[in-house]
Amino acid sequence: MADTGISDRVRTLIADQIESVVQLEILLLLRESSEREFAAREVADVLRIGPSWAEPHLVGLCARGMLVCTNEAEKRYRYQPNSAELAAAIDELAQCYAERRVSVTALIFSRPPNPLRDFSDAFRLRKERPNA
Amino acid sequence: MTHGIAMLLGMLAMAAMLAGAFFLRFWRRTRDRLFLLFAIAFLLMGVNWLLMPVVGRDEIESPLLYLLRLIAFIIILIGIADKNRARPKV
Amino acid sequence: MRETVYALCAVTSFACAVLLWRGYRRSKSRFLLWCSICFVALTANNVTLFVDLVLLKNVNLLLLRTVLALVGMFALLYGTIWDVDRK
Repeated sequence: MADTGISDRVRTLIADQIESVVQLEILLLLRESSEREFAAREVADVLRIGPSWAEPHLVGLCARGMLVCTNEAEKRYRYQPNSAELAAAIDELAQCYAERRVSVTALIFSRPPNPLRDFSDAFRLRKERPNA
Repeated sequence: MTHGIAMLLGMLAMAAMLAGAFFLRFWRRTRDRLFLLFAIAFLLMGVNWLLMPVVGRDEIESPLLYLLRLIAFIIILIGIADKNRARPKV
Repeated sequence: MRETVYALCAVTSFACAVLLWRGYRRSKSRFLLWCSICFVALTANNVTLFVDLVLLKNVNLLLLRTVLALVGMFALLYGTIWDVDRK
């Protein structure tokens, strides 16, 4: 990757946490309207994806500490990173994505194999689906 | 308990504690709580296997040992559950 | 009581083995292969423990159990040392 405009913090965040472009779009959508709660159906409508795609990603982002599930019964989610550090990294990622969409996308697709991430992901019972 | 088995149990204890140490390192690197919990589970299993030649009994005969094993596996279950819950509202 | 506990341990280690195997198939990470083998061996260890406790009253399977667990731990350590790279 010749693009040197992307900071290490963003690269690390992508390598460790961002599995797919769909997942990133969902995260950024909720971040944009961070006072609002979303249900899977609403996310699917805005992004024009199948609702069965949205739900696992929302759960996954929640498990990664980026969203909270505000209503267990109705399954509504809101953007709320569990640390200031994470919030700052996501902010930087959002800006990067806005300015350098192609490079960020390429980074997501070219994530190096990471056995520890794979170990961790193996124990996620509900799989997030990768890009089509 | 024969010397041979006692030695094998010692190797087991050492291996488990080494695995635990590695998992602690993984936890530091990734900040992922799952690795911490696995580390603790392996360390407990290591203590379990260490104590067997020391007290001269195995899990069939000793309640303490069976308790250690139970706690180790419960910790693993906690780790898996923790990984999968959608975080409730803070 | 003890039987239930050892059965629970066996089920848990089996679940880990399955999850790690699925993860290995999905990601092709060799580390997960070794972890899966480890938990298969630990499952065998737990099952043997259960059998030893419940079914076989005059035989002690301690040697078998120990060897099974040892195989598992060696697999795990091998995978950890060789297949987890420095970032």
